[in-house]
Amino acid sequence: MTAYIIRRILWQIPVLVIVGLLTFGIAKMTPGGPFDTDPTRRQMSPQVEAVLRDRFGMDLPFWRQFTRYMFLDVVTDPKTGEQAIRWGAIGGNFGPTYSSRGARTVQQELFGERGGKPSRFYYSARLGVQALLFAVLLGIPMGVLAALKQNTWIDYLVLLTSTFFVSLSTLIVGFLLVLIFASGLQWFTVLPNWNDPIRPWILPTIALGSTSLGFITRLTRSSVLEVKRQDYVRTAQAKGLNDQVVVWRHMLKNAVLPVITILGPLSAALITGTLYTEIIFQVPGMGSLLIEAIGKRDYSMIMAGALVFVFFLGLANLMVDIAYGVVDPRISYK
Amino acid sequence: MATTARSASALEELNLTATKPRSLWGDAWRRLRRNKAAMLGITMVFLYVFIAVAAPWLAPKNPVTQTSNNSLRPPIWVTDNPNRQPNPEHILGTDTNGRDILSRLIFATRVSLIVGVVPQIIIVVIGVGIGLVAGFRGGWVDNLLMRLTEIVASFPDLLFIITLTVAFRETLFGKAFNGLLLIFTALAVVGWTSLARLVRGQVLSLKEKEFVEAARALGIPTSRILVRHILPNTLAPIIVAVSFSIPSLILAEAILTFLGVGMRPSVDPANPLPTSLGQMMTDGFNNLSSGPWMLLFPVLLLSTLVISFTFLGDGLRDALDPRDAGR
Repeated sequence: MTAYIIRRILWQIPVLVIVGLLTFGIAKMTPGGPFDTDPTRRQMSPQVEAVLRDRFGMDLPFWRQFTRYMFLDVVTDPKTGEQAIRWGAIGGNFGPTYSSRGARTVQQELFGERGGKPSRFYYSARLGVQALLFAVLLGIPMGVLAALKQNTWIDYLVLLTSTFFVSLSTLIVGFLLVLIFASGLQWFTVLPNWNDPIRPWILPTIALGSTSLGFITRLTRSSVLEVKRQDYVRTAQAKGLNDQVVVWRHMLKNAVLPVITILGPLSAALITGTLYTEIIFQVPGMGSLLIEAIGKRDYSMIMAGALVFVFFLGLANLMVDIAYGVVDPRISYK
Repeated sequence: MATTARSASALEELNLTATKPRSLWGDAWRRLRRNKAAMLGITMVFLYVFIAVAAPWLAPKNPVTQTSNNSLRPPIWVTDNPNRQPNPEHILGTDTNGRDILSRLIFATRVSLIVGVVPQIIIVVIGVGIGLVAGFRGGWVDNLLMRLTEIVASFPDLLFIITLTVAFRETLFGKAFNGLLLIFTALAVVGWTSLARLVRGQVLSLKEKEFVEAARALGIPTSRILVRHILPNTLAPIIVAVSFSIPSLILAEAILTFLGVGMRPSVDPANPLPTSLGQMMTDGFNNLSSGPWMLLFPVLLLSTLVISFTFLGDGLRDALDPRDAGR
């Protein structure tokens, strides 16, 4: 198990390097530089641009720029002549942001606190975890309920709602929630007040979790239906066990296994879903920061965003695999 | 031996009494027709195709032409705001530039359907091609192609598409057809992996079957075996996968445009593809407080479009693969 985990973690490194190379290469190929400004406004003087180009190392050959960004760079102190290693993205250093012209680093923007407010990362992470909890804690009971009441109106209602959630995706559910509850009924303000610990989180959590909720509900329902016919369940019932005990102790344990496998792909959907959920509900998280960076063509921010998102995706998949091994002792990793 | 001979003749008799031999496709069609949700889905899809094709004749106004002093009119049944009375010429109201929302919706249906179909064709060509070759050839070809598939698939798809569209947005390629060409390419480049895996899996099991062995023994060339014997047998799962992938492509366009990396707005009144649902939703979202109907109608249209395709996909899956029915 430990060897397996280590191998999985090591496999993440080439994936991240390829992702970095791809985004880096694409960013380099793109016409227009980060210091191009609106031609109608005051232009940057050539001297200033030269200094900036030097600071960002933009005149170095491609491979040097990439290794410098991704891994490490040996920097020489101009006064003492001492050499030191400066780590790149693998050391959590994503470099300065282009849009601030080097005044702030990407990691400050992503993980740093801004004037006493929590970091961008905090908002995204909290939103993602809440959405996942919402989907799991509501989806499993709903799926079990539908399966136990198979072919009744409860079952049909649950199936219909979950099909809607699955097919509509976070975007439409988000818009519908805004239209109904914020714009129409005015239970929530369109402009959220983030000092409130609960209220502004409700709609984005539901929207982001809705697709996963639908998937988990449908999957739980079908796997409970399968387990229901198993011999050991009949044995448990024949022993005269209380229905509740049969459901929660005997059936659920096995029925929940497929749900764990689907959590990997679902966390991918959750992570990319934060991109537009954060825009719709104006959550000041990493997703909205990344979209802003796209608008400003802030390549260092875009690349860091892609790397961080892929990193957390790999982490989520790893945790799902481990959880699977813990829950089901029949599975062994080699 | 005697028993098999008898059962064979019994089968023959049965066949004589039965009306007609049933083909796989005929069977599937019968099952599909019995599925109410799927029939509703098909009807709706045909309706949308008709709307998209006949858009210039159906739309009451030009979707791009702006009329002054006519902006942000609510739909005709909303009369409670004395400052903003509806204009009877615009049934679903107008947007911030005084453009007719109904006409824009009709034309946006076009873009959505095209986005659902064109990248899908590229995806099928790439995915089926790679899946067939990898599955049939095996060995290092299979290994190489599957590693490639794995790498593309390990990237979160939306993020990959965004990176591609951001990179090429300002090029000539990115500006072609209001940015639609770039969206098609990006969606196709990222979207083929699951289909390739599906086809490869099918081919792997099919190539061990007796009829393929027989074809090979007869000396039929590999390309012909692939096209005539293996491909038709993988069609059913491909059709199901395609019908599920169309709504996600339509949604992807809306998401990309909403994030500002999708289609560009057009001001040319003669443009056959002037706007998309994603664009209308973005406009509507930015004017949520002054004109919520600008967001509401495209959202409703997109929902029904996506749900119709989902119903159709569910129906096709149950019809073509009865083993999975009821899942």
